[in-house]
Amino acid sequence: MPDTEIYDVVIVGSGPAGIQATINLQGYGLKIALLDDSSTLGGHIYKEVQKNSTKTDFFEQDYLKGFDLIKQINLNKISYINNSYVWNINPKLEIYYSQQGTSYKIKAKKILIATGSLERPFPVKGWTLPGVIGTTAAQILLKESLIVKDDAVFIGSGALFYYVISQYLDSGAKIKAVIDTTPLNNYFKAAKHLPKALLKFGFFIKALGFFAKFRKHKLKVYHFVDELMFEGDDELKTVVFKKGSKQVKIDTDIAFIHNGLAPNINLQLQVGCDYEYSKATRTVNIKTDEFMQSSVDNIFVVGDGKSIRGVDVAIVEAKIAANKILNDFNKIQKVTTYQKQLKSHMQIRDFLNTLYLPHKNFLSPSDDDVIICRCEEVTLKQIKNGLERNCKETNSIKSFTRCGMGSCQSRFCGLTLLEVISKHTNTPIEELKYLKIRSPIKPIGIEEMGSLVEYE
Amino acid sequence: MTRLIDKGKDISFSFNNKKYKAKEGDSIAAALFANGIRTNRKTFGKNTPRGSFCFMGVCFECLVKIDGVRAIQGCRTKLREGMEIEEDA
Repeated sequence: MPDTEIYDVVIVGSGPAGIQATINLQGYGLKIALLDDSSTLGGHIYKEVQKNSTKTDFFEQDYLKGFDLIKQINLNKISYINNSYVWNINPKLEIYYSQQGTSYKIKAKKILIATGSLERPFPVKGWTLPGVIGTTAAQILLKESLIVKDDAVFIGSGALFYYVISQYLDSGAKIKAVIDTTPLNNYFKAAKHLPKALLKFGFFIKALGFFAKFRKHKLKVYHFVDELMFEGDDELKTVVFKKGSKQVKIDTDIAFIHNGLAPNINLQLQVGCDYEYSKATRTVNIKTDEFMQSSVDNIFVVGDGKSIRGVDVAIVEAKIAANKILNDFNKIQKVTTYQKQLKSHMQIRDFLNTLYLPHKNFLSPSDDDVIICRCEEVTLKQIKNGLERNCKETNSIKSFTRCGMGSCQSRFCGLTLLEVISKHTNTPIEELKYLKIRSPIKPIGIEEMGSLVEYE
Repeated sequence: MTRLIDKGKDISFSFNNKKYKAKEGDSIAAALFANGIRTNRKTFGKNTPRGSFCFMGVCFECLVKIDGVRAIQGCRTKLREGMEIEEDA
């Protein structure tokens, strides 16, 4: 077995935060590795922006500016390890990753985790039917393969939701209908955060632009929908929802759904970073100090992989972490925490978090037949059955029902499971423990894993 | 399904023994989507049909069998000329 390669800093995730951290760390003589499971730099937000940088007909400035960021990375100065997913990190800062069917181990003195976000589960009846797809998938297909689907139905809520619809319209695609699940009540609740949010004037200009665009395209929008299901025998055929007291049915073969974003935290939890439940966003977030240091020594966590605050905050946090790391290596004397920039970018968050908090029906379903865990096909009824048999917390429900035990390792059921347990046991959700996340955090062959075992 | 720019090189592949075409650079999941194929696997528990869901490597719904090898993530794997893809079941 070859000697384990030792890096000063290993960065996991090459989205905006990972890229910014790399930029700020390169050029000081540190040995840096940047790992990502994609083939290109940019993460999901700037996916394939290098390839698309000249296609200004279809893509707007917020996306294209990612190219300017990526250009600043000097790939000759660092080890860029793409097509690789990290499946284990231990507190000794050994990193195990899989690249095209072979696993490797490297070691780091500091690790920066910037794994970004994923879509919050949208547990409604029929959401596992083929043809029901995440809204970010619509964006990925557009950026990666320039594919759009005419006559799709968009269902959901949130800043990203409207952004993707706007991108779809820009691309010339026809949209059959938009089913907006933002609750009416949220508008009233969010109003009190409006004065502070208005300081981020540019955001509102953009938002108004979106809605003007929707009107121009005569987009059919159904507002305040709080009951919804998908029908079809083997594949999606019809979206059924309630509009007031009236039931509406729309036939479609593709529905893009979005219930907001959640941090992609499996790696952070696997290595043992402390977390906390946020009632404001109803997500599990990673705790760090002001320098982005997690509870595990020498592991930093930044951006949406810590809690959802968007690209601008991710970039500032990456700068803060990079600064602290350079200081720890005695490369710079002074540590900056960029408090002013952070504060400015955060002005909008209370408003957005309140406005786009999903309706309770879409956090915790009430129909017993709804599938909670997609991988293991565990229904709400099975979970309630477990609760009746005195499994009162996430991990015992997991053992009893297999909820969260499948390939996705609870990424699409963990948050729903918390909601369901909290609701049916009358336990405040923030008092519940999240599922224990163990290595490997993605499925990997036994042989591949075994090839790294050292025999003594 | 529309391609905004239809210039790239064509790639031929088969899915469940039927021939299809997609473009160089497509992931397997994107290639199936572009051809209107929504179902790519059946669950091992109840044998229910599933299709790609997240397209970003986290949901594991896009699993396919390629050249006889099972449980390959379609959204993380680029399409190659002549690939023989089957439903993962």
